[in-house]
Amino acid sequence: VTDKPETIDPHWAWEAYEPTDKSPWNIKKVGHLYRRASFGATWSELEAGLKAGPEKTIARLLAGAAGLEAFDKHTAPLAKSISLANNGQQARAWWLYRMLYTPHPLLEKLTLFWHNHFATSNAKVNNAGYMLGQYELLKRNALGSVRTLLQEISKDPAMMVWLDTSLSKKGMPNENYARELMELFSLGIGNYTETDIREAARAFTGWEIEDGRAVFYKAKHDDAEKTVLNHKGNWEGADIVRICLEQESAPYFIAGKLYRFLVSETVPSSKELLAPLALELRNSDYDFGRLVRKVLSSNLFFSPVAYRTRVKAPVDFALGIVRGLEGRIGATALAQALEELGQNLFYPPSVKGWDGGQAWLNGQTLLLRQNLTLAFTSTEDQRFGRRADPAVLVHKYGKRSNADMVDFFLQLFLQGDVPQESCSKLMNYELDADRRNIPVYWTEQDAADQHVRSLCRLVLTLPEFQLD
Amino acid sequence: MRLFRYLGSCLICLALVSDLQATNASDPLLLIPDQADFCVKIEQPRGLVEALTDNSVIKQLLTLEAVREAYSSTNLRRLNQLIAYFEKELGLGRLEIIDRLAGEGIALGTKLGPKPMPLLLVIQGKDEQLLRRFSKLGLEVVEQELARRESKDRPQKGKHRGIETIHIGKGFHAAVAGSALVISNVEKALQMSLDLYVDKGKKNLANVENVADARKLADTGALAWMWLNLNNLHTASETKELFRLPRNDAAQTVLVGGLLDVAGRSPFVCGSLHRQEQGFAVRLRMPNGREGMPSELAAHVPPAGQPGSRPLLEPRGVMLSSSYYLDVSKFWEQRAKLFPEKQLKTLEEFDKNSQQFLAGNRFSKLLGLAGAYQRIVVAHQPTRAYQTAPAQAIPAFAAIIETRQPEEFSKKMEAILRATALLATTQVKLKLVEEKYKDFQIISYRFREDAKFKPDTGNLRFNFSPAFVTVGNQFVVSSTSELCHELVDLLAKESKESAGKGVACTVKTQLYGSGGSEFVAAFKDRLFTTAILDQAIPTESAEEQVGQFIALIQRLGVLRIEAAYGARDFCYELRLELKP
Repeated sequence: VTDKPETIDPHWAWEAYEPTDKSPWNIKKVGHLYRRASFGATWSELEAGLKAGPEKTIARLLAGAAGLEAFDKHTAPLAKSISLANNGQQARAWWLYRMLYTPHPLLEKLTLFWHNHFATSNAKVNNAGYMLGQYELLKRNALGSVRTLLQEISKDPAMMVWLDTSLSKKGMPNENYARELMELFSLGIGNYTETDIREAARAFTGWEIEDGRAVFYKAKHDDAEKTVLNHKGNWEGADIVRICLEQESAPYFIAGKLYRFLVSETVPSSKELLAPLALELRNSDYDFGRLVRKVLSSNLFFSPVAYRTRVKAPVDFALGIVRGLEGRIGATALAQALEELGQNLFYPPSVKGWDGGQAWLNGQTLLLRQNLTLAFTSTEDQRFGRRADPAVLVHKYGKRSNADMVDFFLQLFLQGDVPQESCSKLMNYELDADRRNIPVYWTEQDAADQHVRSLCRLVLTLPEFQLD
Repeated sequence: MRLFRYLGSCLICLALVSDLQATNASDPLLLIPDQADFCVKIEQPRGLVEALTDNSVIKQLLTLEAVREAYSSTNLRRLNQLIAYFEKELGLGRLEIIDRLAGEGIALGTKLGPKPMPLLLVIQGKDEQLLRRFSKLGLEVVEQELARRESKDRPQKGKHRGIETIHIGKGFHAAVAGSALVISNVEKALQMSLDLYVDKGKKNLANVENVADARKLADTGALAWMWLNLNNLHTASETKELFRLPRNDAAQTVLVGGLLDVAGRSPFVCGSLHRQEQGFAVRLRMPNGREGMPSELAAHVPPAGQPGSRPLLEPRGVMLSSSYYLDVSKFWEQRAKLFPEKQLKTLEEFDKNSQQFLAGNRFSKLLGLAGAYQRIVVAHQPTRAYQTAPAQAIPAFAAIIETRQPEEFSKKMEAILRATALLATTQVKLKLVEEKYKDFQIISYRFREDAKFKPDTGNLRFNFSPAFVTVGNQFVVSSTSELCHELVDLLAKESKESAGKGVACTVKTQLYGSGGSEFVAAFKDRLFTTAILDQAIPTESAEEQVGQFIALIQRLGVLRIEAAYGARDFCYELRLELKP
């Protein structure tokens, strides 16, 4: 795997992947696609993906399965109740519930991408209704127009509190939003000046929140002339967003963020490598859905540059297990566990969001990941009970022998990406198990089920499972 | 901890699983050394299990999906399998096993202070032979479990005074002494217990006079009872301050000064659990009462011959009703004896300056005008005073204060409340409503629905329409005008029927399942959301579960809490009266 982006041909990189003898469409690629574009795959999704081929599988993921409208109808009253109670803890559980049981996981995954991009924390906003409102905005545009998203986020109540737009008045402009719009949301460092920020901040004055909505007060707005990024005029906030998106750096910045999210954290991108993606964005007037399709369908996405080159974020780690086990667990306890692992939804650590990559892993979080795995699979943890039981899963798919079960779990969770040595150890596990004492009051079925659960846990604690 | 969980399972088995030909009837307290400061004893283990398992509310609780799921969890299923295993191996049903292995009672004793705190559990059976078989089986199970979990700890056998002992790690020590199973977390404590058994020693809890008195006071029909030695607490450096006057914590003096005085003069406190016709009762008792209480604490106890508290007020949707005796004027009169010098100065300074914010009235004057009987009511009020629904429903609440000079007290309080309302109008728009209701003048304030109040994003203010009224010698301050009207009706009726009457206890509080369920029903959507997010269950199941939960709260009936100072005793009782 190269770590030099200049050695990658940009034309080849973003051309649609077509299976070849050298790079066939196999379960590894299906698993990879589901890890990046969903939260891991179930066994039936892996099998269906393998049969359907890349094009149809990607189309299926982009469109989502049937039932999204009914699912939205099911979760909307829950969101309303959480907003009324201003319960931030339940808000994060609500989103996890959606991620776990939605028929359109890609939409939730990209909403998570945008949540990390705009990194708004309820620690300051302190209003679950505003946070859920921002979630709706992100989801609505997750596969839509970046332009619309940037325009609407500028007037989003949660963002207005988070970056103090609601306090920005004529004569006392607050620079926070203008700064982050340029640095973190659209252009990146080096593509603007401090003067641009000061001038742009004046354009965002005059907005307040009333009854949960952004309201513009002309009298509080600085309507004098401003010069932002070499454009002179009596600009308002919407003009600043437009000017930012007109900058050459803007599509590169957004494509670069998506590259890191979907392709690789370890191989950095270059301007040349991102050029076709930036062009796609500009030509499509910032249609993010088209960009996502292009990346997911590309040669580079299915190449070793992308394959298992990310560290699983806690959400991907935990949901990958639950989805794989076809579990039906409660989201409240899961939200708490994810906070311990470092990813507290709706509470990112700073305006820059979560650092991601290797920062997810340290001695403590690794131990917590192992404990969570045990909690899911043992069926003895009162938080999750028997709701993600590996023994039920192997029974469903008719896996009986130790060899069958080892192979099943390795294919389901790792698509076979383990060293031979690990495989042999797992294969010998049954022999070791026979030598272990089983309490006299257990039934044979208890012992067999316990064996399956332990086996599954061993697979999930392999180092390879930490990679996305 | 896991080990203790398993041993706990074995003990629960014991508690759930005696030879009619008793061989060694005894009292488990005989094996607890007299150095113990605290003990709890289950006199009738089988009776306790039956009381719990036969209870209709517990049966109803078991029908809740969330509880059912917990009941069918891997751990509980294994526990049931373990019980079944013991039943099969011992050839007896679980209740019979309890009778034979714990029929003489279960006692837990401890000594406060040392670290780790020694705990000694004595399970006194009637059948030594059965106990030995049970212990052997239990030990085998524990060994297997430790092996399965690949624990480094293994049971180690030892001997003390010729009795075989079992030790697992540093925190588990056990032995069979005759027909008693003795378990402790400290080896020395186990050895002391075995010494008592071997020597037939007299220095045990059963021979402590204090404990025997506690047992008598706790009632003989108790399912379980406890004793706490207060003598050591009276002199222990961490707790002695609690029983002294004046004490540094003024809040303790004001809220529980009387109780602390009784505890300071009593050698022990005992508690007991009783099965009642329709529920359970827990009683805490001390062998001292109003006799001997210093005069400065008269704020907490009415003079002899006076009622302890006024009758409870029960408006519609009542969730909580409380009535108590607290003569607040006495705090001011006896301030020099009750509060330390520094606090006394602060209090007097506060009183001097109080005119500034009490509309020209001194705090001490108000205390003097207020009476000794007070009542508090919290109720779910289904009717709303406003069109605008608040984001969160807050139940209505009111305070009812009996006054010594009703006219003067009302005049002063009215001035204070009106001034407060006037001050509030600088922040939020309020409408004053003066209304003649029956023979009484109700003054209330309503928030203007057409006016915005930015800080109140959830419209919580629309839970309130603050009101006050004087009914005879009762001054009422209520969070809503609607509750105020109801209280006027109740107080007017009370003054006709039972003026000046009351009940003996100085604190009487009731929590009502019916009002509670009505209130919870107002939060149905929250419960529904919680059920789905916690359990990921379908909408229909969540709806059913919420309905079952509300019905269960209703069935909880009434929880009565009463505190009574007798001449030479004190009793605090919690009584749960379930709905049939």
